[in-house]
Amino acid sequence: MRKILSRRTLLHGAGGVMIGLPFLDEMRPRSANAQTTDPPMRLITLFFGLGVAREEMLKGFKGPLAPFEALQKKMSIFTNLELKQSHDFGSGEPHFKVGDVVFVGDPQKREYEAAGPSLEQIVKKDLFPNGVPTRLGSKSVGMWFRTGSVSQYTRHWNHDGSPGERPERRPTRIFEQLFGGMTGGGTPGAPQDPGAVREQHLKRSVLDAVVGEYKHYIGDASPLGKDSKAKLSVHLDNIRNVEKRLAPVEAAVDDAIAQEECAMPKAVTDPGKDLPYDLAQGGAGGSAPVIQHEDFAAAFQLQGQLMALALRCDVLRFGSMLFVGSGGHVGLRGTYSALGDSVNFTQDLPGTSPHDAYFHNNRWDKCRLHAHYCITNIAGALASLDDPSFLEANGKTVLDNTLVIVGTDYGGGGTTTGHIPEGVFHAIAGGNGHFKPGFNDKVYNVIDVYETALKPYGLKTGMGAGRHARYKHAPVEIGEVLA
Amino acid sequence: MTKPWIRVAVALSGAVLSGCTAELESANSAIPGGGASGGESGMAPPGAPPNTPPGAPPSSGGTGGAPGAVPPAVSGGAPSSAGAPPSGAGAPTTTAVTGRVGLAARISKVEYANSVADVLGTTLTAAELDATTGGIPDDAGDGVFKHIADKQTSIEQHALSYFQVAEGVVKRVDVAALTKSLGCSQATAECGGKAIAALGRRLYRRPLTQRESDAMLAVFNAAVAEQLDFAGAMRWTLQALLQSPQFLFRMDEETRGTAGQARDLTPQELAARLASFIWVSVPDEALLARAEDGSLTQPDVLESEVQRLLADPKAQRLTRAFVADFSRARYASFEGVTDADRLALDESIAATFQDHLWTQKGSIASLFTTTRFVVNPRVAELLGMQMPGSGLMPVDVGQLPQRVGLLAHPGMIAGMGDRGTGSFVNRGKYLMERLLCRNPGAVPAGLLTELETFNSNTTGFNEHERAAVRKTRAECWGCHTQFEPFAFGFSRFDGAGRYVGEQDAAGKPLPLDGWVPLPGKAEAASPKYTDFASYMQILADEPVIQTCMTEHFIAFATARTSDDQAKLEAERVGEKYLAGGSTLGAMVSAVVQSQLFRTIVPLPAVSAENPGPQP
Repeated sequence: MRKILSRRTLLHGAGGVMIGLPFLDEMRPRSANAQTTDPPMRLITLFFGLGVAREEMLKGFKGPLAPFEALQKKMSIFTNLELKQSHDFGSGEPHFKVGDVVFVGDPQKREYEAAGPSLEQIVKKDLFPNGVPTRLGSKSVGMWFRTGSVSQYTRHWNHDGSPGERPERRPTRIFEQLFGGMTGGGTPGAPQDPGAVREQHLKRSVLDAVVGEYKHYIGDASPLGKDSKAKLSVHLDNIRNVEKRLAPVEAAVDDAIAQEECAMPKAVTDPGKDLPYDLAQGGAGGSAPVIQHEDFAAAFQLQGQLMALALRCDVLRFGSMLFVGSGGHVGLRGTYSALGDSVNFTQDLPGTSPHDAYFHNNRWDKCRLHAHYCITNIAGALASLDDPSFLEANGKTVLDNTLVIVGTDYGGGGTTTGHIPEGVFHAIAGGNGHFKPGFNDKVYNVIDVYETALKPYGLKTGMGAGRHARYKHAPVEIGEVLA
Repeated sequence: MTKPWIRVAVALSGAVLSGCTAELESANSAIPGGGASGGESGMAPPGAPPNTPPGAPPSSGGTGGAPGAVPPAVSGGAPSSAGAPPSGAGAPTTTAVTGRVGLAARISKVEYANSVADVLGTTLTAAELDATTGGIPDDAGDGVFKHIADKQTSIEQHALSYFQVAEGVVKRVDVAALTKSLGCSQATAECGGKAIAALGRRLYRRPLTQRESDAMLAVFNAAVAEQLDFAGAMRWTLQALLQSPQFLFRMDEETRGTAGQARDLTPQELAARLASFIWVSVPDEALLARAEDGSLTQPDVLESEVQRLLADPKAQRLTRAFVADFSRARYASFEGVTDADRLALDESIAATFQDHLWTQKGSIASLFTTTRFVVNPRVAELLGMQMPGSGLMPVDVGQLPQRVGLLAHPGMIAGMGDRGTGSFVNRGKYLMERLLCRNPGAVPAGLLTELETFNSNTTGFNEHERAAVRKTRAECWGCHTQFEPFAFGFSRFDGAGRYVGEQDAAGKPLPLDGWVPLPGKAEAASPKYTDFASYMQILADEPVIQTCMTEHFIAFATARTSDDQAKLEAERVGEKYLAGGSTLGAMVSAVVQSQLFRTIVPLPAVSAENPGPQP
């Protein structure tokens, strides 16, 4: 029953990164209790850039949303949302402004600073104020190549409004970060590298000493007052989370259940030989890097599979994925065919990107295919979560047991450029059976969707009272999507 | 500056503020994300407190707001206490500087990098300084400066990046060179102890206690047990030292002394604060020696050390860090901006600020009227100048239109964060924070829907036209009159700080005349300007604004939220600054002598038995 997704999809042979399966204490409780426990609350946000024109969304599964058809019973799709708060920061680059609004809800305070945390961070802190019980607190991955503004690619925003982790592009590095411990380790079943063992031991020693110092300063012998102690105590909680990543590498995986559920691939290979995974600068204006669209997509699909594996193994419960940043600047190459039409990226995008060539020129015939390309990949990531060959203890797929919120930046369409904060697409997928599937074309603000999505989970704080009052339309009415 | 320093603190205190404004950095914290959201969202009703609950009607504290009217004085507009410092920002106006209780201050990313460079002789890589690549996060939060202890939050990436950065840093450390003077390089507890004492003393800013030394020695011994040599074991030990709270946080002995009665900082605490302020780093050996022999608290020794620190090139870090936050050039977001642009703007504004204060020995007031900019090719291009060669070069911009004073530098204007022509609201709030040390707070929820209407009704308007509409609406202008007029004089600069001429792209005029909205003064009584130079001259001459600049130095030096005590202290510091010759050195010396810098008010000890007041 539990077909190992990773072995089927990730084994690419020699040349990949070899990583040993870390001994994950965090895995065991769920594995050991697999027959009795409910799945943990998990939240993943999935973003794609440049949106879908509303006229195209109204075609249902006959238009760019067609790739969602296979998942239609697990998705509540919104086709007419407002994102007006993205225009509230006075004059500003629209895509700079929208990036820290999607999945946050309020207008950015300034560039590089959101009004508050993104959804997965809200839930993480709400449920685990003293640190999550998993190896990683959260993880951001994605495919994007414009570095001009943090707001365009960052979807993880901290509670103080600062940007969190930049989405990691390179699948092999994601694999290391999710499963390899702080430094990686040996191969499962193989003798441990003495150097790696020593390193783990000494790291533990360093953290023991550091933790001891923090404990001293928050303890009775401390010369500090209450507020300073509280401040150090928060930092200590964060160090505890770092400690979790130091789980020692196990010489051999001997827990049959853990092995079955979380069996690691022995190697991962990065798709696309020349993909500029490590691009540090650039991407503004017409300097979009040139990438074959199949490679770009393949890398994202592998990212999605790794994230699905991480959720399954419970090394991660919160994260964000991104396929093309806000105002996405990728110099796609190749021909993409869908919806009885095709678009020749190679011909259309010499030295430019879909954003500049299509959106700014109102080429909605091209935009619809670009949207289809994005939706195909988003649907692919969802399908990785929805792998029926792996069912969790309640007989459901990982997607069923995970709240996934899919969002984009602008809608647009018709005869104007696509920076229109109306008619915007979002969707709730999975969601533990809390949501009715189907299309919803009523006008809501994205805030309404976010609040509705969190509502069934009984959070203590949720989106926070008062922050978003300005934008709400009908949070009661949108409750109709609750099952 | 020749004018006497008049008493302005009372005029700036919370008791007479219009309710829509708040003391700098002390507002906006009650509502998550309730900070100034920028854009057109600064609209607020007259007299409404900055944190009016959603849906609540505007405060009845004021009825003014008619065009040109003096904003009403209300007493209900005191800043929220949420997130306020324990010293009582948001408390009733004080009439005396009594000192503040302590609060652990996490060192900024810049201070971390400087400390590592000064003690360990290695620099941080770009990736280690970039949060988005796993490096140390920027400090965030409202207010001009970002290292303020009251505003710091701790996120997981802080802990993770300190762990990973320390791991990278120690690999680059030349342990043999660092410990050569110890004459002991064996993998023994004796040599490890000596090295820990020497390097730990620098990083912790004081000698280690036996307990602290033992804790670090345990790491050293663990590494030795793994067959590592002295250098290898010290690298692991340094990782622990670099992650310890004694290094990452500047901590005073907050419960030492009689609770509630201000005491002088201990010599070690004073040394740490001094080095953090002037060098943005840890003390050197000489300063530690003055601390350890106890002489640092003697006024003549303290002053001598201030002058020694100022004479060191490392003192330029003070102005570098100060202007980086003051300008926010590194957050420029104008049309087409690139990371290279941001770096160029940040570099040039810093070089201009430093050239003025250090090389030209100019006063803080004359920053507002200088025409000497230090530019690089990108900034020269934004100024509309030709610049031969590369690198930085001082130029006289006096012949260029409207290039008078630091505020006319593209690094400042781009730091206002505008994309196109520039929002008066954004710019006004930015300038109000920097020139009046006040923050207008967030737009009240009750006006948010009206703002939607306003925005759609003014589509296609330029900023002057939008301001004109706001001026006719009391619910807008009651607050906007206190900050928006600061922006009028900047209307001929676009988001990148380029001069665009006397008309906008649509051919509409861009008038320059305006007034400086000083607290408590109606438009009619406010200082008027008709051109940019006269505007800047008003700022240079205005004591209220110069006192605010002093307040910024106090906030920067103490890493604490500005409050009524800081405003009062700014008067005294300002007087000493003037008496000292109006130089940067005089300002630094005066700040160091201030009570807020030199003292701490002890807190009651907190323990499991005595947990203190509960939230």
